[in-house]
Amino acid sequence: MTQTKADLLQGTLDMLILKSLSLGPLHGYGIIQRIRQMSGDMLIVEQGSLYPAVYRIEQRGWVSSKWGTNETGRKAKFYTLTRAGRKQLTIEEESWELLSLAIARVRQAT
Amino acid sequence: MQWLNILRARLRALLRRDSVINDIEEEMLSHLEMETRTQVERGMKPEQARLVAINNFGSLSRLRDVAYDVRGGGTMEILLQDVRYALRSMKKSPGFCVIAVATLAMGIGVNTAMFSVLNTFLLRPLPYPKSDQLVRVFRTSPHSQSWPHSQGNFFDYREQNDVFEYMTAVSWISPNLSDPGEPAERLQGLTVSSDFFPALGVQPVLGRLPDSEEFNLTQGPNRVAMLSHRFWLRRFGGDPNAVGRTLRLNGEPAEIIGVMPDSFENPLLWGSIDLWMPLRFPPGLERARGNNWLQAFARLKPGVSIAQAQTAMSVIAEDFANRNLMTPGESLRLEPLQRSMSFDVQRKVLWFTFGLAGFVLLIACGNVANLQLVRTGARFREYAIRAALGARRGRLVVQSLVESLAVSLIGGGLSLLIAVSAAWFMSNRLFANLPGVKVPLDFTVFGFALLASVLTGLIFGTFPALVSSRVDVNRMLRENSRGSTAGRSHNRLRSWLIVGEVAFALVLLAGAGLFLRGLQRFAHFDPGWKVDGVLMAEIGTQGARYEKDVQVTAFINQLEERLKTIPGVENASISKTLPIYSFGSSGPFLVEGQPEPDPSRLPEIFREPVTPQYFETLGAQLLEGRTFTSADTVDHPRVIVINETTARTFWPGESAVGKRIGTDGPDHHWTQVVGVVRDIEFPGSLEKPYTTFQSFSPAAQTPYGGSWAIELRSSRPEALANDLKLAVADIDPEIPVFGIRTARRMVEQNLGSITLLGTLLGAFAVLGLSLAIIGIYGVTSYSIAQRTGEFGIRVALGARSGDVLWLVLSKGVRLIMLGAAIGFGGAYAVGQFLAAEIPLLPTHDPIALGVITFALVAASLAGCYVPSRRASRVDPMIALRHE
Repeated sequence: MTQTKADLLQGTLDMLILKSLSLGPLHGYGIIQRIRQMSGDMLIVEQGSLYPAVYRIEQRGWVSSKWGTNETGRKAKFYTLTRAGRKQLTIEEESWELLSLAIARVRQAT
Repeated sequence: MQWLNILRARLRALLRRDSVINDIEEEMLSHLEMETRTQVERGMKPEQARLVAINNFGSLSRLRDVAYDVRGGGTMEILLQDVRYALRSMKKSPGFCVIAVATLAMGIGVNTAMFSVLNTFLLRPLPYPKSDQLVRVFRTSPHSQSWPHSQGNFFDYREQNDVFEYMTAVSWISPNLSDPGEPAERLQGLTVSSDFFPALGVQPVLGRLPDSEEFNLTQGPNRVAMLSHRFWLRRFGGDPNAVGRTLRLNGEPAEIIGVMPDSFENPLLWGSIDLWMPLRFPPGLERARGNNWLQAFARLKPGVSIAQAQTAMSVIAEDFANRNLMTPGESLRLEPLQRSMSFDVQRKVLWFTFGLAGFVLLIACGNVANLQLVRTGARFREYAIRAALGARRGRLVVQSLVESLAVSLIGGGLSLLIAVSAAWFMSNRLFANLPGVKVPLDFTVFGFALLASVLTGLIFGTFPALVSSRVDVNRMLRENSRGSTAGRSHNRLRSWLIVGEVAFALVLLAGAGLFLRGLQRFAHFDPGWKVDGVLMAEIGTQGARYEKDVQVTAFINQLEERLKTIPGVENASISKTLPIYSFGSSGPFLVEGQPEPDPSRLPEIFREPVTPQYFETLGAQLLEGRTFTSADTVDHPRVIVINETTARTFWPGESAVGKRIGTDGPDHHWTQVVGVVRDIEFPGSLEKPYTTFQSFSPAAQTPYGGSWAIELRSSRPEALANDLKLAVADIDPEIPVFGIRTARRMVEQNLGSITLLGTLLGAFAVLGLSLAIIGIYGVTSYSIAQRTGEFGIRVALGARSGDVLWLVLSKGVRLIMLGAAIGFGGAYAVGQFLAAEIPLLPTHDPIALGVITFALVAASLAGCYVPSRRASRVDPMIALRHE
């Protein structure tokens, strides 16, 4: 199994988590899978980074959590994007776009 | 709301640590299982899959800790640790704890108690809905800022303004309740205009409010009355059937139509009230402007500020002045209704006492700060070790502060005991005449106690905390010597504590001393009449039998004659009001033959109707001319007696007798001055009267209805109360006599709340002084204990005990003198403040100030001398072995 580890900035991880939840509620494991899938196996978030980040985001009120059961019937904690979280996602996506645009310009400059 | 989320998470994490940890672990396990399952689906064997999953996961326990920290547990846990540590270290030094907590409990308790009194009078909102919208409306003139209104003007204001939702006029009444077969009783009540109940926004608990017909200004059906809750309980035992019954008031029936709730009465604002009745005017006079007798208040329209309303009412007043409906120079003034509960002097004395209570707390803070310093000194090694083990400076400061806060919060908690008993003590004394009124201990008071505790903890805790964190680790760990622990900053801080305690104590002592001396001197002022040996009482001539002047005159004449026959009475008189806090009525006047001043500058003069023996009864000295005789009746020319100030001001260098003064109306009613008496001052009031001009007229020529006052001079006045009652009942059994007291007692009661505050101040001063002396003693003792080794060496090297004594004492003397100098400045300022704010109180007293300063310096020196003396007796052998 080849893994490409991208060194994720913390703010970026927040954005990825919010983005992964924008399609619907997920449990922690699901968030990792979704990010991995969306990035075409390029980004694999470690559990050790994921959970502290998720808890921090939850405290800010961007996601809410609830215990439920997963597809195989096991108990799991599901995270849902809140209204504030949706707003935050837009903000972070915009600033990310600005940043990547800026970096692209710098790189293209001769 | 984010901080709220965080706070909730933190508290949850702290209080339900296990459940939060469980939650996290559960989630991790569920994650692991899903990971394992995925691996199995990819073809791995279950055991192997599990291992891979665990391997991928990393350290479960580390993740759990990090996660718990993020979820808010960490910060709280550290704080909890600090609190636990603080409590443990307090347990280790119980002596320190008990003294510190007790000192703070006293300091905070005194302040909380004072605050609860302040809160009662000045801060607590009135018990009516949206009470901040309620304002009092006063007429102002160059003489006074708080005049009442005439009905004509009042109704015009009410109709012409667009800033008030409701505007109502009230007048206090004291009707005589006389049911057949029962002794007459004097009630207290308010007659009110129709907006009264809507303006306050309160519904009756029983029955109904008067309807518009009953509020008809001149006639209408029989009179109706609303009862206060307290009167309803007292008179009818809380019987709901009381509604519909009638009361015989001033000889006329009034139907009871409702009972107001308990909170509505609010005696602090209105005085004790038994009933409310619709305001009535004699037919044809409902728009009269001649007599200013109505108090007015209003509810602001929603959204209108008091400043906007003031502007609007000033414009109306200007218009009234232009149309001659108001005297030039007059205007209208709005004041929050809550504020009108207290008098100017009362407010000032309350704030003054509260301010001085703060000094007690400051001194207490100084003492505890010293105790903390001592403890810090003893624990320097501990701090050094902690610092060496990696504790950051911030952590040490926070931890030391947490310890201080723990002490001050416990002290604050205990202080509530003091506050509760003080509130109980003061309720009993402040409101002896207002049954049902108490100094409440509400959340504002508890909030204040909490705030005071936290601030106190920060004040006395900050310096020791900073000192302790500035530990030089290397030096501390290398040295074992006890003598060198205290650094220079430590010593300087201690010196400032002595200076501060002396200064604060001096300001406190001087404030209390000057105030108490002022009260004492005021009580012994000569008011121009002899207060001792006079019995006073009030009566009301009301109702149909006293509508005509001749009826009132006949009653007064008869009563005066009857009073003189009481055995033991030397002189007896009747007057409109009692010369205790003010005369009842006054008006502008002109002097015949002198240029008429601008209408806005007319002087104001008290007009007091009295019977012939009035001046003899009071013992007021006649300076010139004559007093009244029974011949000064309506059939004879009108005469007056004026006071010395009036005579000297308007007829300087000549006799006022034979001159005439008049009113400002079109026909001046010129009245001849027949006598001049010494100024009669009001021994029961610290408020400056709004005019110093006084005139007295024969009651027979000015027989106004309403209440009258009786004065009897006797060598044993208190024994005559019953005879006085019988004498009045002889003339008219339906007239109740009330407020029978000696003049001295009335004076004391009128000054009661201020005297009580003075007594409290005295208690504060004693407490503050004791704390300061203990503090100075403590600081000096500790400094000396620290230097025992040094003294031992000095003595061993040949210093005599006198040298050592002087060494220690000279420093103490310097610090005490510096403190006294600073404190003297403060004390002087306090004296100036008192003299400026309460001019009637004779607080200018340089001798008292000097004595107080001297006494404080002497006491402080004693507090410093005792331990110094011990230092000088150090035995070098013991001292050096002590090291």
